[in-house]
Amino acid sequence: MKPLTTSLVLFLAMAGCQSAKVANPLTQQIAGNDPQSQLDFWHTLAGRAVTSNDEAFHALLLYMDGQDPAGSYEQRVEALKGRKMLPPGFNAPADHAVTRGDLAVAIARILEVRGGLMLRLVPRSPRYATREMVFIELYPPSAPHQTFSGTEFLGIMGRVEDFQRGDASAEPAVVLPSEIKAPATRPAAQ
Amino acid sequence: MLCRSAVIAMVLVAAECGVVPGSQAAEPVAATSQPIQATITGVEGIVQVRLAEDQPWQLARVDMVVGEGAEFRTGPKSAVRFVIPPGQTVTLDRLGTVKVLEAARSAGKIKTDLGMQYGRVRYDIEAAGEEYDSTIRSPGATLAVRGTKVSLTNSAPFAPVATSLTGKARFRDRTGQARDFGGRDRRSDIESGKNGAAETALTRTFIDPTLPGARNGDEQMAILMRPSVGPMSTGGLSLLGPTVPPVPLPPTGPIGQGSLLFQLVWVPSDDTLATPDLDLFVLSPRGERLGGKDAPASVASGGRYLKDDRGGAAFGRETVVWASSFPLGKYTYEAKLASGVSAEFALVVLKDGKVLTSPQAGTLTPSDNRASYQVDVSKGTAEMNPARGNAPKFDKSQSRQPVARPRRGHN
Repeated sequence: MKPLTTSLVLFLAMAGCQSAKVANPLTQQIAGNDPQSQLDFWHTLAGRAVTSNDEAFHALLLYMDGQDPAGSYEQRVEALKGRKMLPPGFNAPADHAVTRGDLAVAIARILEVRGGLMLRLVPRSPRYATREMVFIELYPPSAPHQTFSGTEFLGIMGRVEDFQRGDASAEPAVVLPSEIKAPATRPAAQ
Repeated sequence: MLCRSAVIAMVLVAAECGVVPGSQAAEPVAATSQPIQATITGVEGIVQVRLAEDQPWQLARVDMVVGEGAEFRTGPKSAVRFVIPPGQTVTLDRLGTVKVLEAARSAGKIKTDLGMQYGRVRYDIEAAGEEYDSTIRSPGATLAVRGTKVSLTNSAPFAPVATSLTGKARFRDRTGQARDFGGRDRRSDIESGKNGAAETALTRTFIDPTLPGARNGDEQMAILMRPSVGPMSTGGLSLLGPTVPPVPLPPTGPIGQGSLLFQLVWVPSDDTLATPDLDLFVLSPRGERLGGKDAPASVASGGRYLKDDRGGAAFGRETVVWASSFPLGKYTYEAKLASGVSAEFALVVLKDGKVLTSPQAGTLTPSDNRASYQVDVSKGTAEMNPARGNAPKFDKSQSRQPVARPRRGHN
């Protein structure tokens, strides 16, 4: 085998099995709880090519509680595991790209989606949580090992909110989301 | 020659700017354009605004007045509403940004141009004696609005969607194709990449439970166009709604409207290569037997046994369904190990797509090869049969049980 081919094969073998990593996750720079930091975080994340585990978990805590008191990635993982929002045995590094499967487990928990038969049997299975997210149209057709870009992550969180609070696109502009009387059980497909 | 070149150059520059020599007197646009200020009328959650790109972000407050170039951004569970007089209301919902590119009265016309990077903007125009020329721009989509209530949603990874609650609007996606949509007092959606609102609506009424991407575009469209296929495709059988006109049942007892579904799912519970095969049996209140290898695929009351699944390396699944109506009363349903070493199973009953009782789950082995349960569909209760073991619960003789005699007073 020629040296170039050997090098190429070795490179593919080494690089092909690694998940995407995020250099300098935003949480190292913007992790405050004040409104300025929160909005800076969300809208800077929108410009990132990939969302890391640390960024996604910080965002989930901000979405749920309006603040993230955890000071480190380990504390965020601990907080989410305490709420049974991560798959059992989750131990992915902070700078690895968040997978749609892990995120689906957390979202299913936030929305209290009970799902179909298999998700009821294994409620923290990334595979079946992903399938449920696709079914209720919070995810596009997805595999659990795919990831989200920053803009996509914001889009998904937006749909999560629509699912939870009601689909505001069914209301005229004079109605603010908190004034929607009967939240829809599922958002309009978009 | 020099003079001629200069004239040509001037004409080209004028054309680039949208000005044609001789037309300046007819359209004094720039001279009469008057900027309009917008006023914030509602804030929810965390919202910031900046008056220009080089200005700092500040928290948005009600009654704050902003002009052209103002930019808004919202956090989760947040929204901001502002009014551009006369009669325009704009709301930016959660996790979005929008910029007022232009808001001016020009040549007797109200011209508004909004740029939304991502998120959702809702826009109401109360057309009261004014002519409006309003546009919402977003990467990949543009919505032109004239006297209507609309919204534009651009949330990756989904295609941009425009919605009209009432009135006409014009949607242009990244292909450049413009499509008018919307009507009077009726919601209408149009999605980027779809040919119109009808195609968007048709796509949304259909849920394909198979693997996404398993079918090519032509196959997908062929399925969509089948008039008998309802909201869920199960081989031509609608589970969630009576898209096929229901066939009236013979008057042999009370019947319920809607769908009733029994589903058995199993997985191998050992590491051997012997794939377990389980069978699902259902006995209706009328004594009709469905399921297994020897029973009929359908019965008179409308019940169907969809498939005899022999199992696989991952899991197996068998289903019995009454699609549009079903006999009311007590059903007996059973999981039986037909072959293999052992399997973990779960049995679930769904009425109108909702789980009727908690899933029944357990393990079947050759020494304990069946599990039988009963559910009273009219009451929504379930119980486990005391009998469990190797004795066959359902045999062929049960399919010949006398059917209940017709009763009067029931449809």
